[in-house]
Amino acid sequence: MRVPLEWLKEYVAIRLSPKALAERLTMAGLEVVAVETVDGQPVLDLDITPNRPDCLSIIGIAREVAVLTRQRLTLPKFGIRNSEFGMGKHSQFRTPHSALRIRIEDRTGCRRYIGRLLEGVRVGPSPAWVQKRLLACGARPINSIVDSTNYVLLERGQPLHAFDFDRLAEGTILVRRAQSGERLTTLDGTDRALAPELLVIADARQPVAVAGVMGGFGSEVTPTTQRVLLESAHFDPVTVRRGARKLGLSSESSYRFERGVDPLGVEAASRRAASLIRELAGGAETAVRDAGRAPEQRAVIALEPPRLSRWLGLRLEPTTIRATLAQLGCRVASSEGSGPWRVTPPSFRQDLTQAADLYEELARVTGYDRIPSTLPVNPIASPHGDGAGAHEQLQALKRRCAGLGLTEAITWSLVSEAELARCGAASSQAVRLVNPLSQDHACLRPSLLSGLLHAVRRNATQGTANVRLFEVGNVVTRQAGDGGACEQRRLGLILTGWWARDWRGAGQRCDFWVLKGLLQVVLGHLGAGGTRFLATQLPWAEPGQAAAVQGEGGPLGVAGQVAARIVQELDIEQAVFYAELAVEDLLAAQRPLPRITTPTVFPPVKRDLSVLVSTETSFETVDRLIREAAGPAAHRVELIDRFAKGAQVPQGRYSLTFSIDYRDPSRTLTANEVDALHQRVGQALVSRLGATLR
Amino acid sequence: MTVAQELDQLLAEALAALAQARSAAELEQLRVRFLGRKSRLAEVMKTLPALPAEERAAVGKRGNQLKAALEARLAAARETLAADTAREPLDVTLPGAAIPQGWLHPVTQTIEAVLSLFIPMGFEVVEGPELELERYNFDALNIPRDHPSRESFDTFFVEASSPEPKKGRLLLRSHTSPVQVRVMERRKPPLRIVVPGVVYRPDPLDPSHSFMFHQVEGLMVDDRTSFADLKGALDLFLKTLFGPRTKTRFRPHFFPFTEPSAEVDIACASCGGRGCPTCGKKGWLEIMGCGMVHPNVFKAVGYDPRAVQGFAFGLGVERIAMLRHGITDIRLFFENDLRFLEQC
Repeated sequence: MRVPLEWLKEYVAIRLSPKALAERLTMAGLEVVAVETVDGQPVLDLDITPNRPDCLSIIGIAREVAVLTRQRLTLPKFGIRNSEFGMGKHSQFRTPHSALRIRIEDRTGCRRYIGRLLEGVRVGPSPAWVQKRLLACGARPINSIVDSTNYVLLERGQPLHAFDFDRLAEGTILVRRAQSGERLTTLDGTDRALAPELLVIADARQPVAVAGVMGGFGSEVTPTTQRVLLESAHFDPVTVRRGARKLGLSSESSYRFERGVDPLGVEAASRRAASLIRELAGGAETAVRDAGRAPEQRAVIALEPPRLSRWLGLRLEPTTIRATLAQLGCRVASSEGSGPWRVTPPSFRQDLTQAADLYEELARVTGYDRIPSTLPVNPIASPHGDGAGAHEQLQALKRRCAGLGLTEAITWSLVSEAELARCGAASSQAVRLVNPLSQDHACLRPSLLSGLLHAVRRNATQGTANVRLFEVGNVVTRQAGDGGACEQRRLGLILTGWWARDWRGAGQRCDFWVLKGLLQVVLGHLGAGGTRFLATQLPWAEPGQAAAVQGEGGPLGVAGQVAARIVQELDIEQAVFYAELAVEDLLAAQRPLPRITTPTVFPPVKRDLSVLVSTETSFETVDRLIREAAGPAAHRVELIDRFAKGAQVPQGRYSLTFSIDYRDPSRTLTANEVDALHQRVGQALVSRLGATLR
Repeated sequence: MTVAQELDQLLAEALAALAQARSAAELEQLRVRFLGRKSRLAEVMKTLPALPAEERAAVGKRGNQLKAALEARLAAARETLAADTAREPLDVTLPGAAIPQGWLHPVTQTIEAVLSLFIPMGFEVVEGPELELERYNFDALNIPRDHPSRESFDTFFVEASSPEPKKGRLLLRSHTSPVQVRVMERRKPPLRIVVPGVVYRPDPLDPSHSFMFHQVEGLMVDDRTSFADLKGALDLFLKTLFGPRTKTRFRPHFFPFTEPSAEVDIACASCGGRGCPTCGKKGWLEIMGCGMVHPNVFKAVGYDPRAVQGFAFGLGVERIAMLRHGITDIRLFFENDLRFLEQC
């Protein structure tokens, strides 16, 4: 909302500098975003919040300025020339020669419609003072009639429309819903199909305007217009908003109607515009029709000053409250003694409907800076543990990942379908947005993979080849069957390049084993017991290079080397390893504190065990059998060597070397005992797995 | 010569050789020669099963003793050698080993910084879903359908059927405020919660806008918490976050779910309030929104609006992080360039 200061001064005295006035308005909730200069005159540019449609006019701003600076408001005077027709407020006066007929068929969409017929106008350019003000407010001068309606709209916030009366069939105005198949070319020159829910102004034959949004091209005022029908009406905010949205059209009118126009202002604006038209274009008013209902009485708001003080944390004197409310245009019914006050807000403040609205007004006018700053002193309730632990667990997980050498990434939750297809996700599996900004971000990610791959790519193109990232984020998958969507928290890990390398030469490249090692630490941290890695095929992984992570309660995730095809398509020139875990349940699980036992003081007896087993036999099978055969005495079983090639390894076999610590918590084991045990372990491998001891 | 005698001789020979060894390589050669798989000892031990029972035990025992003795001497000799080598001075200016190191994202760090200031004030951390229902994102927050106040909350809708059609369509939440409603629906006051999370708005990407960003929301509801308490709590919070001399101001604003509502500004640190490019020549930086919870929100969650009152606030995490770290482009947070992330 642009407010030329010279215009504003017509209604209220301003003793503040433009800058000080801007500051005062801003600190009362009418944010002045800029003070500009147009033709050497200061113009305030205000950001009016949706709750204050009453401030979408110069008079509306003047009212605020008057309240905030304790000045009187002076409203413009204009002649009421129509008194000669004996016009009352709601008369249905009809001059004999006038054919003007107005009917509201849709009373939900239109509460009131006042039409004035002005005859003998001479359409021409407006005088300079009108044009200047319109331009300063950002409106384009058109002709004396249209400018008059725009001027009054800016002055009072009431949208108006002028029709060329001779182009209205049978001099009739109907306020009704559009009928299917009807079309209208609006003032912007666009031919539009009118959907039946649209409220239109129609003549006897067809729609001539979209009510409250835009007039029609066919009935617009032109230089040859002689008879003007001036519309001032009150249209329903929701109806106008739906109509404007449906048409993808927004105007100064619809903007105001959507937010709510002062129902009492309809008539005054109508008279004011008629008076201005007479001044600018001459002519005489020959008929007035006022259809619809008079505005209803405002409901009374009960205000309890003690509750107000409690809400704001500020005690206001009753006299201050009363004076402030009066300045704001409220009527305060006297209530000496106890009991709530009865406050009737003014018609132009449709946003004031309950006590809290008045608290805000009182706080705003008093100034938020005059409300004290206190610290809450009320007792702290014991937390209900409403998932509060989960966030702590999440942060601990992130810190653990960072501690492991992984850097946290945050990637887009919205990805492209092409990207999903690249990563092997079926498009039927992804949930799409109804209204995406672009195809690049049209789907909710069903996995963190594509985002993290792009982070690797981004770093690779910037010359960073060694990338170790993790992300904790939510993914959305389509629920089988019912078309629903399921949101789930996941942890993603991605590795490429060197894991660690320095001048001593012995570096470690990222590979599946680094990935698995990280996952094992993370799973341990999350308290996931009994997890297993099972060979699997994944759509995004190299064949034979991927695992499913299985927890005690079901699948936990996947890990593997990203398929060479995907990596190449993204111009990444080295192997990439990726894992994803479903962490939501693990993070939310209540874990008992571990019992901590005293470590034994009795020394371990160490034995090594080298075996050759069939390549069909997995490490896990061998490892399990060793633990089973050795029982609890095998305190530690560690694989220290594995090789599948060499002179000593026959075809179809491979070698595993274990280091085993035998230990008893209560005594020192003798060498003989350990030898016997160790031999039993060896024998078990021989007899049950067909292993050869080396 | 019996096998046992042969073993004794072997031991003597080995010990003599060990005494002469001067390098790790020599020690290794000796280990292979006397203890390796092709050593005489290994051969002897392989023949054990073929020996008569009596001899087997004796030879086996002798063999094991020899092995243990030699291993002990080898270890001692290695240690001595290592100690000698260690006396060579190190070039301590060489770089240390490459220890993998990770960083937390600046958004995470900022969220933690914010939460850690509210937790001691008795606030609990609660989270909620990013896929939300219209009721929680809008209606219960006093943002009716077909009302212009929804305009500030343009929203991504999701092509999936609503789990509770009565609560409207599925969408990506445009703010963290729905979590207020969810928590109030399942719990009674007094409440103090802080809610970190991701939110989405259909804003095209540019240096100061992103369709995805993070918020932290706060809610404190009981029978007495006032607007003055809101001012005090946020003033303390901002002074702790930005420094004890931080100047704050509460500017009236409009949010559908609070009344009175305010935007909180801090005096621009770059120009000290005189106005500069950082603050858009205003002298103040908008930091967060807040207000007293609107009675209509209490009604929507089934609270008695005459019996409860309290405040809510919300802030944009990226904005705070940008101010704290002097970051000028919000898109950097989502590019995941390690050169950016490793500075935090």
